[in-house]
Amino acid sequence: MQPLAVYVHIPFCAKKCAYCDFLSFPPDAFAEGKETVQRRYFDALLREIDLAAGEMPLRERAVQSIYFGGGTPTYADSRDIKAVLQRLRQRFFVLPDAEISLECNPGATTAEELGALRDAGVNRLSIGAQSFLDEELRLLGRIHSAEDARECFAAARDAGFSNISLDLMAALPGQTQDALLFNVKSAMSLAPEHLSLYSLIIEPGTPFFERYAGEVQDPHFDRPVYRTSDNATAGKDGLPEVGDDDGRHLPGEEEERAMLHAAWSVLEENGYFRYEISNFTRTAAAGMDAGACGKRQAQDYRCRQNLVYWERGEYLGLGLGSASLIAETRFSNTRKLYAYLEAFVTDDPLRAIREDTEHLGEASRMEEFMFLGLRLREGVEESRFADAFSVRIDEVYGETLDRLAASGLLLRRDGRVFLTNTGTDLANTAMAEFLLS
Amino acid sequence: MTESGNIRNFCIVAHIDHGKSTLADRLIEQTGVLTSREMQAQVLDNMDIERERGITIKSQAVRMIYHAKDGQEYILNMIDTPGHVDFGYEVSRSLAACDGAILVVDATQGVEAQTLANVYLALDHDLEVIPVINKIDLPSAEPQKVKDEIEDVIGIEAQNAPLISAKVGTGIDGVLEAVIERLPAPKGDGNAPLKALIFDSIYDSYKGVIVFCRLFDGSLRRGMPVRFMATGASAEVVEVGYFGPGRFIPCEELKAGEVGYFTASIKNIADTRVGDTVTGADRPCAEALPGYKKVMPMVYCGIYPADNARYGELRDALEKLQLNDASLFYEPETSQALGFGFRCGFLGLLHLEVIEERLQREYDLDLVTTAPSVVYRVYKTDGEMIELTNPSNLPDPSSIEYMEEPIVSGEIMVTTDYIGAIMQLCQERRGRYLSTDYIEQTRAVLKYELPLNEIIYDFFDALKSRSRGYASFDYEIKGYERSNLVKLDILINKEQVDALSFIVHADGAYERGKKMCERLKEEIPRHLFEIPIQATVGGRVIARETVKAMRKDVLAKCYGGDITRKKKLLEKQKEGKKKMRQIGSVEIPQNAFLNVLKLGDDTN
Repeated sequence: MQPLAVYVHIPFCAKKCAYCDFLSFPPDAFAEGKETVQRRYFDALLREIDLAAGEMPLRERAVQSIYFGGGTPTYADSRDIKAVLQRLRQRFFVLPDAEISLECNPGATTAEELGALRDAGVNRLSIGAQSFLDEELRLLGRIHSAEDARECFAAARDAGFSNISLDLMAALPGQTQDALLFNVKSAMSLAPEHLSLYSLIIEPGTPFFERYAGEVQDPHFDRPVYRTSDNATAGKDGLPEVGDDDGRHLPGEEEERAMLHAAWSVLEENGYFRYEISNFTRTAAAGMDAGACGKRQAQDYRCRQNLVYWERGEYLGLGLGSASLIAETRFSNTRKLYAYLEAFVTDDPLRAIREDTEHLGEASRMEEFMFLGLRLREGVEESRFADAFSVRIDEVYGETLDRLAASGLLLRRDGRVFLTNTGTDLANTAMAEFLLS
Repeated sequence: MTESGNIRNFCIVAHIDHGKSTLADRLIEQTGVLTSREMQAQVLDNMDIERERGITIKSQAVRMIYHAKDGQEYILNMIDTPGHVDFGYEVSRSLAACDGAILVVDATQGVEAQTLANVYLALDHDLEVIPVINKIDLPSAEPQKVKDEIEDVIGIEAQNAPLISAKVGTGIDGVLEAVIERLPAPKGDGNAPLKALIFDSIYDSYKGVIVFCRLFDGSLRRGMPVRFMATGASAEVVEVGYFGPGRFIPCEELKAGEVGYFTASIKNIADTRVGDTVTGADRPCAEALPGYKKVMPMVYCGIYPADNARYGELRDALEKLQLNDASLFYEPETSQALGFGFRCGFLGLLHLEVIEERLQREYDLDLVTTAPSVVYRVYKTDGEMIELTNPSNLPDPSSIEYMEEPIVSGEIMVTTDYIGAIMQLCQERRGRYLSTDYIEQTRAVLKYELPLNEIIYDFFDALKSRSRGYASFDYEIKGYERSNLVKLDILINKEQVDALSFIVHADGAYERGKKMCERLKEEIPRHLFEIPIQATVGGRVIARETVKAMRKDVLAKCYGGDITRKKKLLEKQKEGKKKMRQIGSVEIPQNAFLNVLKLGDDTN
């Protein structure tokens, strides 16, 4: 049986950023104080591990990767993270070379904490730098400066992290191509093993939505819908004031693509291979002054946790709002914090927290196989499709593949199907074509 | 049975909001439903209540019983009339079934444009008109001033007009007494052959067509064979009756002067044309009633089902609507862009909107409607004249000698503050100024001649917005005039879209073409390729816009393993695509057609 991936959600952060719609609560969201809530949350998390590990399809399973996402996992106490890892090791067979990632925000951690996390077994750090320009960081509502990010990176290296990823954001309001390239070069100068470059998405319910919704060009953008948070606690007070944007505007579609393409070129020229729509990994070519890290040239730094999502491997989500795929069934945990916490006093907590359970029939699995697999630069392997579904890809998608190939969105070569650069820019258009109903 | 001397058939005419419906409700309240004789005998035992309940009578007509101060019992048949000028035809068919009319005038507003239009229609039909002054309970009521105005402007005696408040309920008796005293009883010979006018009809799935009629001569009984004089159809009467408030009340017989309904197991709705004369098959009358002046539709547009599979349902729905709206015209039509549908003719734009609304609401149909067009006369070089109802059918320009368009005489009543704004609007719409008449110090009537095609789009809206709602507009067709007209075509990605072609005055072609292109640019989503949108006149491009190729459609973030969210987004995207119309290789959202055609006067 294929080893499992485990996702652990930590829904706490020091302060909500102006663009953020992730499931996370700043400390002032709770009446009873953040310590109490965090204590209850980690207790629940440990219980969830115990119960999930006892379920039939998960018993005695090997675990190949663990990912702590948030929120800001480093905003929690490293002892809590350590306890979760220990419990996972007790209940599952965590492989010795398992990738154990943790998201970290500059300004929400210390060198000591990073050391403690490394000692606890965390071996990959994903640092949310987002930008290396202080004015952009202020606009985003981040709590750190560019210098903080550099210091955080150095501290992580000092703590012994040899696999570090940096997150950057593109297409910020008022951002120029030069500004983005400055950020990319600043990131590369730190020689991270992995890099994520995301375009800003304007999400309902965020301060950025209030300000920029009118400028969004995406035709599928839901303008009028304001998502009211499920959590009474994430009230308006939880949201930070957006700093003055000095009349900045969102870049248009053309500008956004141009700056992103320029960034891609710079990254590739410097040995960062784009292996997925928005993720890069350092290759052998990335020499420069990477120093000691240059020795591990042959190592694959792609994020194994994410590869599981895109290749439809099985994963177990733990904690608030997390998603799972087990035995071809997708389900999610509740997004309501108190519903989650209180479920653990009931007879069947797992049943109480899980919702949106969907067993995937063959058609759904084929759809997913395609639209997830196509996120990867190398695309999907035709033989893997045939193995998985006992039918040739042409029999199901022959016409779709021809049509998309004719429009220049997709290529078939050497037994693989993958998106062209244009196809990557228009990935949703291409992917929607693979829906069968 | 009540003698015809104790019957009064009348209608209420009024300007919108002057209180017509409120007064009608009050009259029904203060009268009874059954005569005392009917109470004792027949009706209740032969009324199939269960079956009656299924049908709600359209408030076209209602019969009331009134015990007058003279001690006698009277039957009052009140027949409803639509208020809007577009429905002049409908009004006239209701009026033809009446002998008199109550004219309601608002004590605070006085005589308005539609008051005049309707009163003149009533007088045209030789109806006796009783003015009634309503809303006297309002502090700003000026009944004496309004009375004088009625006499001055309309020229009917008004000093004895009942002063009422339909809202509060005062003075209603006075109205009923005036109806008895001042409106004539119907004339007619009860022993002559049957002669009845169909003024409306509805379709009931149990009974077939229910025919609403006014008997002028003779009588109508159950089991009697009847003939429809214009269509030649015959049938045997199954049920006769009259209109109770909200329901049908069957009776044995209807007599000369009465208003009621009958059913005769008629399944084919085309057999019972509104305006036709019903007579006895055994003993027919010598000649038919004049019926109604056949009204020609003035505005045409294409109506298509959004889902082509529902073409049959649309056809059935139009057929049913035509049953009690003889002025609705339709014939099958095919469009490259929109598939199978109908070219429909209407009395005016409001009529169009009402039909569209009814098709959508009552028949649950999603529609795509093309640009409304008037009927143009095309004189060809070979001497032939074509009445053009669909711009797509315009012959080759080289074979056209000249074209004519319909012109209306319009009267705009407006408070003096807005005269300037309204005159400017009429100017923009190619109006020809005739005169300004001051009704009183603060109000005037502007008279203009306007091309009909200039007022069918958004003239009413523009009028209301530029006068802050204070202007009202009335028009009648004056005739045809020669005009410099051209056909404007729209090309999307080099393909002509027939549903978007229309005829326009040469001087306005550029403006319209430009606006259409701009609007289409907003409505057409970006595609993988660049899409030119062009407006052409006679093959020459006069305006152009471009929908740029889509550059970005990608979700970078993947929200952990939350694939469901991603899939929902893709599904929504695919769903949206299904709702598109394919024109060549371009997909156009269905409502784009509507939105483009509703090309409003945005600048205001």
